[in-house]
Amino acid sequence: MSKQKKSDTSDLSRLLSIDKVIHEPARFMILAYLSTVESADFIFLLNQTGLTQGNLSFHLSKLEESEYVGIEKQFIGKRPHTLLSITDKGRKALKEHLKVMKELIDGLFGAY
Amino acid sequence: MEQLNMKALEKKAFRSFFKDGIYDVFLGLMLLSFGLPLMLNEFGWIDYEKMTWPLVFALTLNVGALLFFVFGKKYITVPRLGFVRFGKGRKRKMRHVKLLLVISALIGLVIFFLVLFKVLPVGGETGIPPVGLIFGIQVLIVFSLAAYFMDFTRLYLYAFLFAVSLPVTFWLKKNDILAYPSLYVFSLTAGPMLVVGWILFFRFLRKFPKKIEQGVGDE
Repeated sequence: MSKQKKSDTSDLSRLLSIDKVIHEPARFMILAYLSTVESADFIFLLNQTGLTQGNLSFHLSKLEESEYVGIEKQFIGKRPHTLLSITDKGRKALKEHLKVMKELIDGLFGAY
Repeated sequence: MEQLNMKALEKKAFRSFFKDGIYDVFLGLMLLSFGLPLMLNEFGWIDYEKMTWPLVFALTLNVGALLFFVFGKKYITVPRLGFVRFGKGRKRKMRHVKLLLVISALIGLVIFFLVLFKVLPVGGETGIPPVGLIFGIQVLIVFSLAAYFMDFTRLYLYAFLFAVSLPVTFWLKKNDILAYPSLYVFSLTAGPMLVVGWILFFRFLRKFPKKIEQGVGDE
């Protein structure tokens, strides 16, 4: 059983199955922050992640396309206000990504 | 390990809201509101035995501190740091803090009426009175627990400063060590909170200019 597991974790082809939407550092960071809160607005994420407005906006769109993040747009007065939250699908994908990455790293560096 | 890192991330996000110094200024003003009537009495500006003026000064400062806290958080902090609803764990911790503050306020109210009806001596000539000790002990317990639930490290120090303020003032009065004990004691207890608070506040305003959000997907 452990031999089987060892061969699994040292199989680099598993890297190809990694979720590329989450694997991008900025998107991973956004999902990690959103996974710790119920919901947050655009400015909160901007401050926490240190990304630029354009960058954050771009990556949020990608995460929204993959249905990992739910975006609710509101107007407070004349200003746009975007409330963001991680979806169940996003939370599951993040957990899975962390698990796969951990297994791969353990498998690759376990021998050292 | 994964769980721990996420907790640390949440804690870091939550603690970022203490960078604005508003809590520090609020607590400093609240503590000063306890000391101001005593100081004015020492200067001979108000009659200590007549409770009206000390109460008016204390309440004015309390209301001012509360308004600064509420409007500061709403119009200064949130537009700069953003809006966030924290998860269930944090909400539970904050419910504990609210409960503690309600209990503390109730104890304070009981002490206030006991002093008002002269059941408890307020101090002055008789050394450290029960009111000073009760105040000190309850503030130390409540603030330390609040600091724990809020992950607000500076609050442990503030708990100590709050707790020693009244007992030390009364002790100095009894032993006639200083001419104006409350002036010195409250400058050394409320003073650091106000200095730290204002420094953090102006640093925060410089570091976090007001941001105007652009729509998601617009570049």
